[in-house]
Amino acid sequence: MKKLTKQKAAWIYEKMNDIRNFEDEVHRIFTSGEIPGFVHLYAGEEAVATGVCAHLTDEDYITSTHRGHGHCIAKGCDLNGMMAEIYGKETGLCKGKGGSMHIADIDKGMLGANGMVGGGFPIAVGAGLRNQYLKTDSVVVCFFGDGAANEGGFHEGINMAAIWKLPVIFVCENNMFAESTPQSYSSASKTIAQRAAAYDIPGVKVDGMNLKEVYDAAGEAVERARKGEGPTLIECLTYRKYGHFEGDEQKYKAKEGPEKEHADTDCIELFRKEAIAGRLLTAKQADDIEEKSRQDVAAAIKFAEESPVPRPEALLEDVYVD
Amino acid sequence: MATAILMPKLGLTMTEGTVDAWYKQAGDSVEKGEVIATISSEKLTHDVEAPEAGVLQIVTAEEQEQVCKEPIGYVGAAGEEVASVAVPEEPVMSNEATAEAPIEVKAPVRQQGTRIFITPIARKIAAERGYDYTQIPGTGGNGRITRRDVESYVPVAEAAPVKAISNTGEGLTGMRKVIAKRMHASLHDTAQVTLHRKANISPLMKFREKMKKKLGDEGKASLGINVLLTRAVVLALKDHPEMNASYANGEHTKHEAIHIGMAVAVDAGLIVPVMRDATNQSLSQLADSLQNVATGARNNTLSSDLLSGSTFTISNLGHAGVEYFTPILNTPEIGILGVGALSTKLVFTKKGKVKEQQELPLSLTFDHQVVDGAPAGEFLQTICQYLENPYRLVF
Amino acid sequence: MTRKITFMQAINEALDQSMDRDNNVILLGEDIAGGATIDHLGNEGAWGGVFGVTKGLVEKHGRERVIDTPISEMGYMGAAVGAAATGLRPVPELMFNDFLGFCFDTLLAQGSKMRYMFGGKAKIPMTVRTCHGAGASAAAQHSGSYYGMLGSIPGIKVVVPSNPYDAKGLLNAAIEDDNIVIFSEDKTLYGIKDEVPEDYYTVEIGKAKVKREGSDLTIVTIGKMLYVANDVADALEKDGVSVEVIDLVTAAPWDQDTIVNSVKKTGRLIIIDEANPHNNTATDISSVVANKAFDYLDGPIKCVCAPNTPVPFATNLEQLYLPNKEKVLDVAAELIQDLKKS
Repeated sequence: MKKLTKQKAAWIYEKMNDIRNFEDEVHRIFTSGEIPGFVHLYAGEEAVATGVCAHLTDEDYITSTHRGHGHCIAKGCDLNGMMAEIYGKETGLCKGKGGSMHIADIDKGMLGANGMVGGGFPIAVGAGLRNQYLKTDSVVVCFFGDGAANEGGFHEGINMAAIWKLPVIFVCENNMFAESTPQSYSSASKTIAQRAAAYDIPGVKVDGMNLKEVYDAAGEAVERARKGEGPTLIECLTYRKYGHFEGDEQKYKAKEGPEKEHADTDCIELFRKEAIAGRLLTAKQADDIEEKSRQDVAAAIKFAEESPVPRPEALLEDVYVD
Repeated sequence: MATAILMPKLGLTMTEGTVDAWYKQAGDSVEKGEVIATISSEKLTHDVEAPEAGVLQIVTAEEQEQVCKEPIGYVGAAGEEVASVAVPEEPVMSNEATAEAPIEVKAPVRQQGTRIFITPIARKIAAERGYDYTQIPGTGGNGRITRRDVESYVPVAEAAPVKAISNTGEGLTGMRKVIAKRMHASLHDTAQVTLHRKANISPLMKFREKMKKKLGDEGKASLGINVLLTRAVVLALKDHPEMNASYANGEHTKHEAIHIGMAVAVDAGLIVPVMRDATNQSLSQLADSLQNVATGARNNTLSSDLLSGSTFTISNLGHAGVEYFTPILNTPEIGILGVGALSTKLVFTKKGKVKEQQELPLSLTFDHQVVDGAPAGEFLQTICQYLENPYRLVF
Repeated sequence: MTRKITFMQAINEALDQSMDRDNNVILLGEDIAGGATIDHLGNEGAWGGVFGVTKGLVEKHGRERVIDTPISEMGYMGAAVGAAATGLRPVPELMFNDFLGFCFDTLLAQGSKMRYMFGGKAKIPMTVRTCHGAGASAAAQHSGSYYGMLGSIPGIKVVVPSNPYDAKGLLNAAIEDDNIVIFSEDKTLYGIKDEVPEDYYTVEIGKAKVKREGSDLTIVTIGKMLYVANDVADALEKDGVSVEVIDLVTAAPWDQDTIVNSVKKTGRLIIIDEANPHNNTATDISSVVANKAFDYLDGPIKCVCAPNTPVPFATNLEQLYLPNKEKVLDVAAELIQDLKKS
């Protein structure tokens, strides 16, 4: 399994910061009313997207969720294009026609954030089938939440990937709540990971706040997949810094106790500390990355604000391939 | 019970008439058969007699119109309340309720006030052709008017121009009003050109003298100048069928049969009685026809069928000494021949001698919309040739 | 070279030839080969589809390309979307269109919208084969006709072949097409035979076919309803009514020019659609024609559809459910009343 190198650690720290800064800024701007529609922020869960995507190349695919900004950034999507998309501008990754919930960049292997909870399972299976059929060693990561685990597609998708031994890694981001409903209420199984037994595939649960744990589990799963040994189910216990969507009062969140302790863990701070301690990063490097990230996100906001809105005729374009 | 005095229906096409005059006041006693009023239609005037003896009630005042077969008044016992007897609350004034359609009636005539259903394409075509679709019978589902109904519809020829210029003739009544509308419509809707030329009828006059001597009194009538002229026109029309035609609603129709209209002045104005099927009539038959219609017209005894339907008209003003004039087309006909007064002129012969010649001035008006000057001129020339070679008239 | 083959054979041949031409074409579906992983069968299919439409394909193209799926309509239909988005040209089979509910999200919210949502960067070249139609005593959950419902989704094309020639050509065209095409087969037509070329060819998607020219009445049909219209046209011809019969061929997006121009000529329109009567292809055609050819209409537009009920099982009721010649003649009577007089 790939050891975490200095280079990879720097990449991860950069992406973690990009995600955090991006989401904090979107949160700030959304409150000011300049961003239309629904926005679901990824802040707090950075260790999962980056720890998994650190193992992927542009040849690998991911499917994402309605909380997809973090996956996009970790999969290499352009910050300017993402911000412009969230603003509904013509220069957005989807020409302003997708928005926050549908950011996609197929060239980067990003098969789209997905407004349908659980919508990614079969699509990831299809991409995995493609990889297997074309005899590539590319893999697919299917990110999904604890809520999506209770959709029928979870079963159909994992079962099909398992019987065909497809190169798909199912990564559950268990942030403890499906919208406002706790995972402990809506899932009969105590963990999502234990359901892997039903499909006779490996299932592991890791601390999603700990980058290293996520990175290691994903590394093992990706390696298995590339070797044709089939899918893995990884459950990452994480927590969202903000609500389900912007405007959520978050009354369901605990004010104290283990959940509060979990919530107060900042995966980025934790990784900085551990990386510096493990001599993967220097403090100076980390500071520089943080500063550059803030500048990059500021530049993305400027780019989005200055970009034109879509041409009216774009309304009718790209429904069909002509 | 009071008896209604109805507006008479004189002929197929009459739909309403005007009360020209009441000879009795309301409340007067009248005798059965006594002439109590005069009414007029487009074509004629007519005296109305009391149907019963009794006291007169008047419904339709003088100069007002009434639909045929509706009461213009009542005759009843003195003091009898008649207004409630048979008068419809709202006399049906539009002719759709009573008009007899000129074509085969394909569907029950609509009740007035009922909604008319017409398909979009039928409505569009009716508008393009200027048809009043309320007059078109609908044979489609739910009685709706379909494209086929519109396309097979033949509008009432006389009705259309009258409707089109409804302001003309205002203030006039009866025949005067009709003449006003007709003449105005004719000038408004056609491109009239009049050609003038004289016919040398010296040979014709000699021919007449000879024939008169041969036939004696018996043939006298047959040799009237109008008879001979009519015969010449009929023969010329056979040679030039394009002149025996009508032009209306965008269609130039050549007619097989030749019906000659003869303009006749009457006290009330002008009427054009028709000599029907003149094509193959001999001179004596023509003479009879001419006699009948002229007499009938002056005596107001012609049925209205003989007052319409001509295909070409002749108007003779010769008796008043008029020479050339510009007769107005009796639309939808496309030709009318005006005949002036016979005169005797001195002319030079080819050898340079002076000779007497009898000349008849002729004025042909034609509709330049459908006929050009050259063929019209040839037609006029053909008439002259018949008159100048009188023996051809008897064959 | 042409020869007579059945509707079902025509479809099979199109799949076979399309797979020969393009290695990216794969088939997915329940029992489309049958007997997967059974040792004694090996590459031999147990079924070749529940109707036998895909028979023989697994033997020739292998189980990697003719893939038996679990009974997981959402799973394999969504997988087809994912495979198409990443470069394959999958042809999933939805055994009966009544199973749409299980996989609707993958078509409604995923596949059909990806290209638009992603700013034109995705294309989803997949062909969903499915079957519709009453008349086989298959009862309410295996007999519906939902091509119209699918056709109302932007980004999806729907073709409904009426005969073996079109079936082969349209399926080839659908597989070549870079969009999601629903290829809806009427299960009661599988046995009909007609001349079909042996060679590969395509029939244009989006173009209706004038099957019979006429001047008085246009009848537009979808799929099997063509045969009802032909019977009606024969009957009306005897009364001197000239009927133009148009096979819609593509139910969505349907060929507005051909239909509108025909109605401009005839002024009368009947649409025969086996779907339930509301919000279907017939009502859509009716609405568009009423707008685009209003001034040419010489009577109301008539739709002859199934009633607003599920498909009944009892044979007599099922026959009552289907549009037929008598029902069409019945509504035609009002439209042609004025023509029959003369």
